[in-house]
Amino acid sequence: MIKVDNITKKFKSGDNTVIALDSVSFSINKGDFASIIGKSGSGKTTLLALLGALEKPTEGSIIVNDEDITKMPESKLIKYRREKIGFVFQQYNLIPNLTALENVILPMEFAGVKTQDRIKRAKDLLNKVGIDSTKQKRKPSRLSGGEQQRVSIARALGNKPSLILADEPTGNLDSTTGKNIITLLDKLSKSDNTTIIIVTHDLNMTKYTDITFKITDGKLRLDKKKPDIGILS
Amino acid sequence: MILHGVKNVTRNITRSISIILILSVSIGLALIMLLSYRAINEKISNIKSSIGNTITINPAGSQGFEGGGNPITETQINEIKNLPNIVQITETLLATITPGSENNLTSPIKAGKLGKRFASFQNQSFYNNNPNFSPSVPIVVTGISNTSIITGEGISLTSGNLFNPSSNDNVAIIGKNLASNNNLTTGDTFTLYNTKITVSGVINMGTRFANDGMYMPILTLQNLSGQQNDISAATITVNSITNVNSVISQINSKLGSNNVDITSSQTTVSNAIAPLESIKNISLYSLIGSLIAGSVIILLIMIMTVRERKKEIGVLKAIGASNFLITIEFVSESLTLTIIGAILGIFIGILLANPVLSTLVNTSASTPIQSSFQGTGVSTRGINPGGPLIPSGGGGVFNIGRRASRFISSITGAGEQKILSTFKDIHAIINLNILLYGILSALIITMLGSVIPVLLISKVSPAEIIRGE
Ligand SMILES: Nc1ncnc2c1ncn2[C@@H]1O[C@H](COP(=O)(O)OP(=O)(O)OP(=O)(O)O)[C@@H](O)[C@H]1O
Ligand SMILES: [Mg+2]
Repeated sequence: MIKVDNITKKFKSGDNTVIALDSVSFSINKGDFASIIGKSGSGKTTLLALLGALEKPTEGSIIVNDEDITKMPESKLIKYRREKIGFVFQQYNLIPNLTALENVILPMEFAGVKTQDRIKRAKDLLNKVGIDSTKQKRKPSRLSGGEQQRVSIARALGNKPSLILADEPTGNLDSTTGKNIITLLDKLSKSDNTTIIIVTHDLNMTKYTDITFKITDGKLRLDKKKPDIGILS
Repeated sequence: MILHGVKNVTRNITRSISIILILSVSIGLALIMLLSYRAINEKISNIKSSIGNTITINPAGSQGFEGGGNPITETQINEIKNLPNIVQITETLLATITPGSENNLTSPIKAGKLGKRFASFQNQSFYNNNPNFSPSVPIVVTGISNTSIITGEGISLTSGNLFNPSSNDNVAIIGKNLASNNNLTTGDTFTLYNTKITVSGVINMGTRFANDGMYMPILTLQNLSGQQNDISAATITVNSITNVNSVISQINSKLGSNNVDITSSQTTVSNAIAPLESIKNISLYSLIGSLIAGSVIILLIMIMTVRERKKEIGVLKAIGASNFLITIEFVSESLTLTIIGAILGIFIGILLANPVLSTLVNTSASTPIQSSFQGTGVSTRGINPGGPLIPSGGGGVFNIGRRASRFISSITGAGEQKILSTFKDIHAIINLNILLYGILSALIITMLGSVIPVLLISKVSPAEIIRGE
């Protein structure tokens, strides 16, 4: 369960202040698949960065699993990012000189998972997202965009996070591949009860998600939600 | 993470190889300079500890060209004999004897042109009346209170035995030139101050000046020459170099600095080793310089890679890497480069340490060596026929004073010459320690070079990176 309470994020650039997020409040249930839509510059990435504890809000609190991450010390935040969050990026951001397998192993290496265990888990995850063992040995440059995004989803899942944050994960993919990635994420959120928040431009994608928010100029409002699940605060 | 760092070296092979080569040169240079520094430092402390701990007391003024003042006395020596830190006091008394009926010896030195010219200069009318007169050169007799002056490196008895220096026996050890000039061998006798003296040994002192003279117990010479209680000079051995200055000031306060001239061999030694000291400094600066150069290379390279991989660093942070882990990755990458550089540098060091060291010593030390030879000038002053050539006599304290100073300078001059000749023996010691030094320089270079890049790493903001897409 994620509860965002009245967060504001301001940036100072020179003399003027940019209000990237303006008194944003919402909550998402555990295991929900949520999407955030909005125009460029509306504050979507800023919201993900705050949820992923890469930045702190200017005001307000973010409670994840009963803990306020805006008040955590840096040492706890590193652990939080490592163990509770999985990031998926529009440009995949795999480490170029590591193989697909090594990329998936990396976050588990940070977390100190035993070598044997992390290799086995990485292989399982890659098989699950549809990357076979020959492709697992390839470096990212020898994989297609869709394949790279699958690898990056497998990487995000390594430490069994409770929240996956995906910033336009289908932005660089054709519609079919994009659809496959979204259904893969949907499947994961259902099977592992993982909360997923994706940012997207593509309104088509919102039909797979349980709940959709729309951001306009830093202000967030509920757009739609499936009638059976999801709560609006 | 360490492994990732090591593997990252292969990301840009050409660049890595060039960095390794540059680093190997700077580490090689650092090692050469370190080995040189150590070798020179050891040489300096050897020299200091071998001849650095003696003090010479002369009568006040006798060091000057004209000489003068009163001789030192046994009474004065007794006053300082029991000062702390003094190991030994060697007293010497010098007398010049003029060959003749009371001294049936002739000097091995011929007056020569210089002597004749000097004699004519001193006594024009006598010389004009006797144009063929060749003045006879006096012989220097040195009374000694212990045998340290006639033993040691470069000095050998060619026959006979040392005498008891604290006796008043009528014995002498004569320089080998004086011996051959007068056909004397051990056991023979000759006349000095109308007294029969037995040759107890023949000695090779290593310098011509010293081989032209003779040595006898100081008491004997004091009695024979009528200089009871007088001493020309005293050489004091101090237990350690560090105490030399305190002993000097204690002697000064006991005897009064106006009554005696005190010189320590440290002055001579520090003159002689001045070029070594400067090479030592050069090698120290070069050592520091090459380590800094290596660090700057690592600094620039790391700044470059941190900038290139800024996005990667941001991503690593976003997926849960701490600054510490990322730092380890980058530092182990540079450490790999420097260690490979160090291994090559060690080979460079082993190959070039001694050639470079001897070039340094030869080029930097050659000029000061010549100037310091002129400074003490054994050859110019030692054989200079001095006052005693005046046919009408003269001499006395003045002559003895001057002779004494000449004698001292011949000793210190020889010492300095000896020091300078050992410069050639400086060798860098190459042993397994070089591995340690090589690795140590790699660590120092990496540590110094990494500080700023590590700060840059910690400044990378993951939020900015994911927004920059
Ligand atoms: N470091 C910063 N300094 C100043 N302004 C910033 C900074 N970061 C973001 N902003 C501003 O905050 C606003 C929101 O930016 P954000 O990256 O969240 O937009 P976005 O919705 O993700 O846009 P896009 O769809 O183009 O990715 C923008 O107006 C942006 O210019
Ligand atoms: Mg964005």
